[in-house]
Amino acid sequence: MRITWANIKRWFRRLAYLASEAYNAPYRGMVARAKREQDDLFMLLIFSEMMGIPNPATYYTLELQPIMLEKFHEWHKRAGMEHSPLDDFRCC
Amino acid sequence: MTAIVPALIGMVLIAVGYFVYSKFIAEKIYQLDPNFETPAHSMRDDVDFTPTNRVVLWGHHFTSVAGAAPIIGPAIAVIWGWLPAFIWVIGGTIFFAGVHDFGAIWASVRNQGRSIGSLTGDVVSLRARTLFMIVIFFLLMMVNAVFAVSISNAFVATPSSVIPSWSAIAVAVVIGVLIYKMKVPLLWPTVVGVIMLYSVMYLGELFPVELPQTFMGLGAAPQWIIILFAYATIASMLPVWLLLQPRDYINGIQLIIGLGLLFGAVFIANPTIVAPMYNTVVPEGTPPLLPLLFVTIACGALSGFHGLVASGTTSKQLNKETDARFVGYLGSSGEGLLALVTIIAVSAGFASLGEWQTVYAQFGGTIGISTFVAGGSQIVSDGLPLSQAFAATLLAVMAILFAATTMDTGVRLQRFIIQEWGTIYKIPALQNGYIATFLAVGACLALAFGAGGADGQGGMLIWPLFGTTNQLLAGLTLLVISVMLVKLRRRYIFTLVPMVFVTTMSFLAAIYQLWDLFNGGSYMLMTLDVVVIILAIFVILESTSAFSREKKAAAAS
Amino acid sequence: MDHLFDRRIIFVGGKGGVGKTTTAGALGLMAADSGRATLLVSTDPAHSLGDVFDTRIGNEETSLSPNLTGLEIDPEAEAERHIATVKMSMKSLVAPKMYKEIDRQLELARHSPGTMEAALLERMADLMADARSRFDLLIFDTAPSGHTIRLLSLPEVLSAWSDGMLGHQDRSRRLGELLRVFGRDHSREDEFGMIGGSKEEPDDSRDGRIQDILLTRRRKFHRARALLTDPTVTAFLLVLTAERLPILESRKMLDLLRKFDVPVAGMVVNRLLPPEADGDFLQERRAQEQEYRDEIDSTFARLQRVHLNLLPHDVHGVETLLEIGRAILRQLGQPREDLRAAEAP
Repeated sequence: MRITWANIKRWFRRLAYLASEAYNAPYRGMVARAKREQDDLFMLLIFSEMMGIPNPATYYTLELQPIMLEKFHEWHKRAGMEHSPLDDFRCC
Repeated sequence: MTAIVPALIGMVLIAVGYFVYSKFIAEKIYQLDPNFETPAHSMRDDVDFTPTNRVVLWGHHFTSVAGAAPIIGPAIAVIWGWLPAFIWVIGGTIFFAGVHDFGAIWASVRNQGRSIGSLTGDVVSLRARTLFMIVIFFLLMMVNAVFAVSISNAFVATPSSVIPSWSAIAVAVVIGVLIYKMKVPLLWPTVVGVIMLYSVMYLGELFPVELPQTFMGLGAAPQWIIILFAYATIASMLPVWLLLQPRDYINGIQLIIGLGLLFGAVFIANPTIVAPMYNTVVPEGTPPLLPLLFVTIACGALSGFHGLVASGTTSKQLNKETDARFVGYLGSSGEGLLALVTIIAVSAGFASLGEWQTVYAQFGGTIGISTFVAGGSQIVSDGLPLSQAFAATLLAVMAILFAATTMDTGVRLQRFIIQEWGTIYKIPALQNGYIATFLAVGACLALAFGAGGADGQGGMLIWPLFGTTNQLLAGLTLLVISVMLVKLRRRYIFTLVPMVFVTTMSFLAAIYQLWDLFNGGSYMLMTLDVVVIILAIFVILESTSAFSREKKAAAAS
Repeated sequence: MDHLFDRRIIFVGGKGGVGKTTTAGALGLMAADSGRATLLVSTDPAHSLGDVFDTRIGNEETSLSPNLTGLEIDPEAEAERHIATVKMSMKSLVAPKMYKEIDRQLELARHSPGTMEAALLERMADLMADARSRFDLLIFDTAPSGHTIRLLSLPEVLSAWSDGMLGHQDRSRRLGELLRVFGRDHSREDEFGMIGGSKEEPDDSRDGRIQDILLTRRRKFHRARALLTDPTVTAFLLVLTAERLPILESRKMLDLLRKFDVPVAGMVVNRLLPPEADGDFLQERRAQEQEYRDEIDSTFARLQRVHLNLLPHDVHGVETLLEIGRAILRQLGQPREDLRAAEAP
């Protein structure tokens, strides 16, 4: 590889990328996991009535349910359940 | 003999190990497939499972495992002469650690990224899995305690390291804030941070800090121990971007600079090795080389701890299966280099055999980071235009920060484990973060003072026990890998031999220490040792039964 | 009590059967005749507003007399509409074989009591907010005590709920930002292809929609609560008769209303035995009634009270209501202009 200005710049950019990855990569997982747990909680609150947990705001969680349907599906798949765990509510 | 000889031989052998032996293992034994879809791809969720550049992974693996242990262990072990330590470090790195770290990643990758602990349950037995968890908890406790003792001894021995080490926290915080809050791209904070760090080392020289000899009935070292645990508690509760993340980064940079300076200085200064090749006049009370050498040096030759890191996060981020060789084997090779340079530092960094013998007048004790610093700084100042005082501060700060990071992570991990027990055994109090942290730190403090007495000086007695437990873990991991190989009808001798060797040595070491600790009156450590022995017996029994079971199954089908 | 009709919203409540609807109707007529555009709303599922005015009212605004419009909220229809919207959204996201499942699930939701109350509250909150521009005065004829109390407490409960949910969303958003800072450098084509980018966008827009919905709801609840607890805007009128159970219930209601900061303007003691009623039987009853009147006077000493006599005939039709309305206003000491307007033929 010839030592040209372009090569040096490319090498430098690669170093910057590696350094930035070195800085961030180990921590992404931690934060992503925390976010996912927070989101799961929110999603379960929306579907709480269906889980048998009485909720004063059922009327309002109802209108949020269609939006959260996808997340519910992702959640049960992630939790290792092939299908929705709720007998009354089958999403797939 | 000039130090360049072992340095060169060691480096060449490790290189050969990577290019020849690891290639052999990769192709013939583990049979890595570049087209195999790793869990990072097949189970990708960008949370735990996400493919990562192999250089970055290697860097992370290397900086996680290359801590203070490859410094402390060899520093102590040279008391038997530098050659035994050298052989164990080089041989262990090539044939044991390489295969272990490498294999742990491979085993995990081939099993949906599951950790070795969880695989032990499948491959061996559920009982073995519980064993694994218990061993890990004890290991963490011992790591925290022994590192706290090491750091405080280093602070006492090198007062110029106090200010720079603590300032490093401020430097890290500054970097963290610059990058996260002010969104400055990485380059400038890095440069600024590094300059700040090394500048403060000059300050440290000018303003050495010594704690009062006695304060509230405690000597200087015990005071440091308490301060360190207080720090670890607070640090484990701060947001990651503020302290942990930038500090890991600085440590990585320091490691590269430190290794470069040391090896460079060795080749320039060409120091003479004064330590005996094989010490025939070991001081009174030194345990026998066999088996204790093999548990005194764990990291740098073979360490079970790495298997946790390897199968914990690394395997879930591996892009191609063939990267496992680069990340795992080369990762432990890097650590071997650090151990090698430590051996050289403590063998050649002293003016004469007499001086060396004064330092190595007893086994353990205050030998550790400070010995590395003393010897290393001599070589560095001989070879490079740096004052010995500055070199000493630099090396001390490096080792101290490595150990401190491990302590933070250790306390954090212990807190998680305690919280998990709270969930499994339904004890709400344990699930609270503060209580769990308090318990974790309390256990470590109890161990640090219980082992060392009120003056904390005897804390290094924990070291061989730590090594023993560490090797037991390595043995379990190698067992899992071996059983997997049996199932796949491949040659398992390359993992089985290390496994048998290390388990036997740990067991013998544990038995010896039992007698030794009993005589010395360290009853707390003795109890711990008994626990370790029981664990060791279980491991041996479980291993034998699992292994023969699998062999029969493989032969039958 | 300063001029009752200076308020914008009046609730008339009390135990079942004490004469709430007639009181509300009477007040409505008086207000309308005094020149104020008035909306009379019934929230009682067993609507009797139409009966009292001898007309059909229903879920649409119906004119009852000049300046006076009536409305009987049908919570079922509200709930139906809401659920239909949810159904449509959900169906657009799943395979057709799931439609039956969704219908079934949402039907169950429709009939739960919480749903009815919430639907009712929705309509009420909307009226309280919008109708104020079209009407000078809203008078709510409410359902018997228990329902009404729960209804009036809903804005506070739901405010708390929506605040909590928004808190969760906020935390998630902050973690997401942290993640973005840690993210890969997208300006450089990552060696593993596009990561994160494609996954982030639907998440962002979904979070945006959730945020919008939650914020709109919260605004509505907060608004409703603010109006309900503002003494210059709202007044609650308790209606009771001089009998044991109504008195007990009124006391409970008063406590709860105070707890939720709903301003109570006064009480209407209804169906008292007129002086001209005679006969031994009625004397005995009058004696007992006097006891109860004394109790009312002492228990509710600080509330202004209006006393209405039992009429010889049923109350329905505009004429009778006007009579009652005049009686009320006279006792309240309302300005002479209003009374005169009411008395003019």
